[in-house]
Amino acid sequence: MKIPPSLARLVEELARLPGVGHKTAQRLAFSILRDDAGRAADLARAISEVKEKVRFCSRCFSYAEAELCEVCAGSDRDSSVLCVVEQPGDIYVIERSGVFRGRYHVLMGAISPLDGIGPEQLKIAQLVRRLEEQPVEELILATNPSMAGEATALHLGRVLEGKVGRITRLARGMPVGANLEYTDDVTLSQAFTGRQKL
Amino acid sequence: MVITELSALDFRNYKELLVQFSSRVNLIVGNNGQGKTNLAEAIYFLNHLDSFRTHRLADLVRIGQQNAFLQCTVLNNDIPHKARVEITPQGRRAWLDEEAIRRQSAYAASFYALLFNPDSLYNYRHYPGERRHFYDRFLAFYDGEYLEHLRTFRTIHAQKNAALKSGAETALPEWNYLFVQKACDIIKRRSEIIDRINELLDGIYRRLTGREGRLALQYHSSLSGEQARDEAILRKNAEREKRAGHALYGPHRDDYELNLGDRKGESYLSQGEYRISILAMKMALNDLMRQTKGFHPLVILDDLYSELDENIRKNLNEYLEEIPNQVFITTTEAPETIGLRQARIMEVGAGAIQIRSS
Repeated sequence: MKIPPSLARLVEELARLPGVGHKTAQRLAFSILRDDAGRAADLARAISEVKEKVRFCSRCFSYAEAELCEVCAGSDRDSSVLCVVEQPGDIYVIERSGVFRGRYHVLMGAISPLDGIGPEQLKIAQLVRRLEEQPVEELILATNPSMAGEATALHLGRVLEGKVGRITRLARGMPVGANLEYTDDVTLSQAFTGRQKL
Repeated sequence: MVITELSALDFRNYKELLVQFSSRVNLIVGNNGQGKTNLAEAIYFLNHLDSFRTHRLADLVRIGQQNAFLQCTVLNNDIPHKARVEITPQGRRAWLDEEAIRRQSAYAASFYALLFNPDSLYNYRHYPGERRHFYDRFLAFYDGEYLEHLRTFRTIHAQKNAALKSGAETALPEWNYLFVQKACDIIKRRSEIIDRINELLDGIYRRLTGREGRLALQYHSSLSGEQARDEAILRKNAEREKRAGHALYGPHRDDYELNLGDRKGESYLSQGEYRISILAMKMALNDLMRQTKGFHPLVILDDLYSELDENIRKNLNEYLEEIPNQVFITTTEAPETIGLRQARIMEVGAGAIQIRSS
């Protein structure tokens, strides 16, 4: 027996999401179907609301429901330090650790000619302008340790040279809780290069 | 390392095969087309998970069949391991001690076979890409970090080429910086390994030929391996690279050249000279692995004796009986005329193997 067309459509829509294969999509769809009508309507409303209400913060390009995001609007943040990340999602990862109290700037990607992304496609001009208007003491480059992230950090270092007091890059090395025995050679050699005084 | 036993099912012309090897020299004899090289290929495949004759896995499966199986017992430092490979229309899968291998590099770290084979010799002689591939594979085994450096370099190289091709030049200085940084990691390692090979190479050549040859490997790179100097080279040639639309300088263009005395380059040696020079180079790699890692790779010598004169054969046999490696030699010649003293002689005929003496 074939799946009813409306159910098939839901499965197909769900399967478009990252990390969701056809089988998972089917399980989710059946689960939605089994729920009360109210729950399904809540889910549908949550989905359309997120698209209506969430936009990009006009200053840092993080997710926001107002002109400015929570971090940019907050008065409790240290405005002398700015942390540059590739994606809005990266902010939540750093926030979860609670280690950083400064503000952010989202580039909306990393330089990758293979994907047709150059500095012009990123929020770099906006960053430069922002730093001119509100100078900071330190700029932390928290782009990914991938080659695209590395090139992006180098590029920022070049275009911002002399414009910011201190530009730093996140350290690379041994993950906490890791065992020396199972660490790959390249990570280990980076950890050695970046070793610190006890 | 030593392969004590090998079994095959529907591999090339072998329907079913179970064979025990000597831990020293194995002489595989038989007429053309009987399956000598197929056996060498099976041994090689169990080591490197690819063939030296074909890139199409289907070629390895016996005609009319879908799947082929290979299995062997390997002694590494006297500890027995079981390696198993399955070739199916979907691809190949490998197990080491009944554990599935997910990454080929994990498997490649424990096995190495030095191969001498006429077709590979031809390719090595005529194609720089083959030469780069050969030393890259050796370095990947020899130096745990090398493969990762090479992979990273390839990513940067692809990004740089994309930037050059599309004319997206704003971030080109950054790609060039990263390009040179990784290029230096690679060039230093390549140049070091060639120096170490050269320390051993001429001695082995003299021993095998009895001649004063002055055999040396020369490494050529379009970059120097020094960050500042190489960045300057790229800056100077930025316009040329932009016009070409791809990277003109870097380790992707490196080459290796065999020099015998004043004769420099692959094309100045006779066929026989070239064969013995390449054999000497492989034996130098063998010495290097023994000295630095205490590792004895398998030595597979396919169609060894053709085009080698009487004197060289004698020296070569002595040498092969002296080194501690497990050696596999294939030849069409009669075993009595070869002059190996302690080899296990195995005769291949129509996909079956008979042991004639141990």
